[in-house]
Amino acid sequence: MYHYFFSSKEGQKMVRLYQRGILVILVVCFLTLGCATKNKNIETDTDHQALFNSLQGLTVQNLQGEPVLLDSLWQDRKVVLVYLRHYG
Amino acid sequence: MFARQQAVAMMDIKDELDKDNVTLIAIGSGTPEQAKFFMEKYNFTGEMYMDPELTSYKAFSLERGFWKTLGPRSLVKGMKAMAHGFFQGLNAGDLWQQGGIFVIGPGNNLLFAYRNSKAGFHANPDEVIAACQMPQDSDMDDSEIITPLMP
Repeated sequence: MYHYFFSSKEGQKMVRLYQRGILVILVVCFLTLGCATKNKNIETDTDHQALFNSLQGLTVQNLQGEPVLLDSLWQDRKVVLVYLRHYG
Repeated sequence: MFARQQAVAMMDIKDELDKDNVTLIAIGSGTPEQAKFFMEKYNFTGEMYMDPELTSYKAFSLERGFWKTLGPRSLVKGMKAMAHGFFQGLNAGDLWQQGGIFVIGPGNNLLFAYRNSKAGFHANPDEVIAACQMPQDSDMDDSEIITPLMP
């Protein structure tokens, strides 16, 4: 019965419609994902505020092993802060 | 090997940074001894700090993970790095932690942010220099800073 339905004109029309529907859903998904990825790379003022708030009070060690307030490193100067993976 | 590559890339632009009055600072996840050895070996003359507990790495939302380090694209990058003479040394810090570059200051002004998506994916030094050369009282609409797209 199924074989008869899918080989009929109506059946093939439905299959084509179904395929088109899937294609439209895939395109919408890709576009949504693309926009989401793009937005991920945009940082807003609020993000910055949250970032600097989260850095408050954090310390790193200097070469002598003494703690240094992280945000004190750029309070009076412009810095390029490079986070290394590891020293290997 | 990628940390070495990144340190060398930053040293290549250090003269330019000095000219623009910008301080080069590196933060790693090893011990002070490992950091000193690294600085001597790769002639890194910027300031060096350590964050062995990775708290500031987390605060900056830097990536971390096994596949971020040993994924297929990172392995290809690793082979390219080796072709340029950068070889993997002994582990000196957190192997799964990824790095990044930020241009900040003076004050809490974030001018550039790049978080390495995977090992070997580094910021373009020209973009770092361009961010450093932005005027202090920039006319830039700072409601949105667009970080460079990941490669």
